[in-house]
Amino acid sequence: MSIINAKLIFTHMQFNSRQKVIGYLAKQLSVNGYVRDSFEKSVLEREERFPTGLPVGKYAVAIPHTDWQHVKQSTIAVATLAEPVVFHNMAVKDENLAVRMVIMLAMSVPHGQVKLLSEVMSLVQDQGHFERLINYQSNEALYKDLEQQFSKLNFEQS
Amino acid sequence: MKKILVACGAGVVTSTIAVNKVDEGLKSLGIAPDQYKIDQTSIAQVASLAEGYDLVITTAQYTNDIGVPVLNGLPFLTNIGADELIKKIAQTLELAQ
Repeated sequence: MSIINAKLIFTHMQFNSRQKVIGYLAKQLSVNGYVRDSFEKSVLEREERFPTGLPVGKYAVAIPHTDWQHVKQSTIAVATLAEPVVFHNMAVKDENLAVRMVIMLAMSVPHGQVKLLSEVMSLVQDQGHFERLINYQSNEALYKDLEQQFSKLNFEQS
Repeated sequence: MKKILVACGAGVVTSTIAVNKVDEGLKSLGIAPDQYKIDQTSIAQVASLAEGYDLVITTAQYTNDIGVPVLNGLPFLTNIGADELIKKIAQTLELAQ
C-alpha cells in the first residue's frame, strides 16, 4: 500500500489564510480515514503556538502537524498554492513567510517516522525539484512525482 | 559523555529530523558515538530537563535562559548552514575528533 494517496494531493489551490489551508487539508485527511476528528483543531492550535513555516531558498514551505494520538494511519496531504499564503517561521518569532507548498504530516507513531520525514525534507531542500512541484498544473502530475519520491517507503509502512 | 537535548514544538517531527542530522554530522566529523548521547523532547519540557544536559538544540523559537547553551537547529531542516552548525556543536561540547 502506498504511503501517499492521490486523493490527498492538490495543485494550485487558492486560500486566503493559513487557517483555511490547514482546515482544508485536515478535512481531507479526516474524510479519507487517516486522522481522528480531533486532528484539525489540534493542528490549528499547534500552528499558532509552534509555527511550521520553513524558508527553503526562494520559496517557503509549511509542514503543519500534531501529536500522533490524533492520527489513525500515517500519510501526508499536500497542497501547492497559486498565491502564497503567510505562515510564521518556525525558528524566528513572528517572521512571515510566503508559503507556496503545504505538506501536512499525519504521523501515527510517537517519535515520527524517520524515513518518511527524511524524504519530505530532501524534497523541500532540493530547489529544482521544489520548483517543479509547485508548477504542476494537475493533481495527477503532482501525485505521480510525489509517488515516485516516496515509493521506496511503501513497503515499510503499516 | 556529552549529553545533547534536541527539542521542537511537539517533540515529534522536526526534532526527529534534527536528532538524525546531529548524529550523522558528528559521526562524519569522526567523533566516536560513545562520546555523546542525544535525547529528544518537546519545547515545553526543555526548562525542566535542561539541567541534565550540556547543550540544547531547538528547531522552534526558544529564548529562555536555562543556564545551558542553546543553538537553533533550523539549518538541519533547510540544509542551509548545516555543516557549520555541526562544527559549532562539536566546538561547544569540546568533542575531540
